[in-house]
Amino acid sequence: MKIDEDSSDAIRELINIGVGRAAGLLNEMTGTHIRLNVPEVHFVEFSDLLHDTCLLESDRLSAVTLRFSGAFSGISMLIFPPESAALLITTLTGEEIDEPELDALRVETLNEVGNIVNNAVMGSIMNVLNEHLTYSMPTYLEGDITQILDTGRAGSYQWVILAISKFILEDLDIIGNILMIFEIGALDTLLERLHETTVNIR
Amino acid sequence: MKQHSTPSKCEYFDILPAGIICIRPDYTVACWNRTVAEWTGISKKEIVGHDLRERFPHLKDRRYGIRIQQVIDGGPAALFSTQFHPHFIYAPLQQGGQRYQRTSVHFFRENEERFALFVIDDVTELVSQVHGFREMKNRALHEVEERKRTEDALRKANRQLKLLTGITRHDILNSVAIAVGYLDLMDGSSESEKETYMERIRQTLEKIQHQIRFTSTYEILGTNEPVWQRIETLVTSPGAPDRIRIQISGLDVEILADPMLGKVFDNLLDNTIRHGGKNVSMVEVDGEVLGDEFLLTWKDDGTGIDPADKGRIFERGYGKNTGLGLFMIREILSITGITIEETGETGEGARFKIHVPPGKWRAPTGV
Repeated sequence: MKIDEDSSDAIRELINIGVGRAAGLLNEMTGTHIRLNVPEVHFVEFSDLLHDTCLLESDRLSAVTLRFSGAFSGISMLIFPPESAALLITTLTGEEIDEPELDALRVETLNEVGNIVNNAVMGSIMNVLNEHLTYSMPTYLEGDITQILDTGRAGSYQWVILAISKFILEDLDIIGNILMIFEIGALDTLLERLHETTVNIR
Repeated sequence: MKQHSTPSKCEYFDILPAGIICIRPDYTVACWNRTVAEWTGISKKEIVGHDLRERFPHLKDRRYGIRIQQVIDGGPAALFSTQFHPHFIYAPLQQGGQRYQRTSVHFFRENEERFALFVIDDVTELVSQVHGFREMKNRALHEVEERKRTEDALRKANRQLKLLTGITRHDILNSVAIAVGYLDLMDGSSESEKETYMERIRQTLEKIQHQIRFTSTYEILGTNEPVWQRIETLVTSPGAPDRIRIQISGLDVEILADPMLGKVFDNLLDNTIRHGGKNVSMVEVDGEVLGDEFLLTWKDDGTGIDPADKGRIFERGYGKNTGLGLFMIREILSITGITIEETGETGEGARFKIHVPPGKWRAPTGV
């Protein structure tokens, strides 16, 4: 599948809007000044995801996932290396500890942060398309990328939008990866809908 | 109060141990289960059909409003964690305080009507356990840290003890052997020879006295915790003879070192006086920040160090006097990872460079 520049620009823009909203919400909620930017958005085939992205190489990643189904189906997820996740959460909550680590409460907090980012990104796309999807309950997963992606189901996945996002907070520069994994044909549907919407707007 | 039909699922919610609230897009309460009624003390009758925000005005805040609206519009569930929203709704505990809650808000539709369903879990016990676990872990970490520090201090003290015992035994035995040797030589020697041997024995005994005094001075090295010390004060305190002028610059810093750090500068000055030659008149002590480290330079205008001696001046026993002054300087500094080297040119004076690594120096507190 060839993704033309207009479509890729539109996706990039929508993800940008989503993470911008997520950052605004996180700032209001936590009273911190967090900036979230999306410097890079890549379209990769699911089969290449495991080999191409060194950002996902850690054997223990923390992921907040959200499955969606409807006109197009897939999973949206926010992934961090666990030490970055723990550092992000302890900084956001203003805790002062020497060695940040995720416990039950911090996992739950990370789940909320991921929920805010996933919902904002999905919301930004769905607002433009005026579509309704069905969503699963947001889930927190930990493990290497194959465990998180449940590669047993890999056959049904086709394309991945990988957005590498920086959480900039105080002196921290934490990389979080937003992945939108689409089932077979789903990205084509999304791009078609986006194209139709853009044509209608023009 | 607005009149609406009640969602068919409401009666089932009463059997759930979680707090369940169901609202319509205008925030009027459609379901209020038994658990949430018990927690809040607000009965179904009092709240169903009323705007939820009348009882819980904080929900008008954008932080909640935007996310709940997204759910009402058919978006994904919204999660409200305990750390960011410990008390989603006011639910006091009998023993005082409030219940800690974890809340999620979900969309559902019935008969073309949209609802937002709040599921509120009481996680008070979990929060208390996690806090207890965190405290226990912190205590354990501190205890391990404390133990490491104590072991480290013990190891250092032991090392110093061995070192000083070694110096005392080895050097004093040598001196005693020399004195005994002269006593043997005195047998059958002339009066003038006897006088010479007596003088040598006296000098040897003085050396033994000096060695014993030395060990008593340094016996506490490494036994006390390193402390932050202001360099400027330490460098200016030694009493230099009138013929030697000490010029300092850039020393307005504190260094973390063994409490005997002052001896380093006493010994450096002693080294200048003893070995700088009769024309030595000036000592310059400069400090500068070089990258992460702090570099302190001690430079005199004496005769300098002979190239043949350069590599060995910090070795124990090497030198013209006791051979322990520069050795002890290196030992004192090494306790906190500070290093020293000699970089002067022979004939142009001695130059000692002291390298203080990052974390072991700082601007003076209160400056």
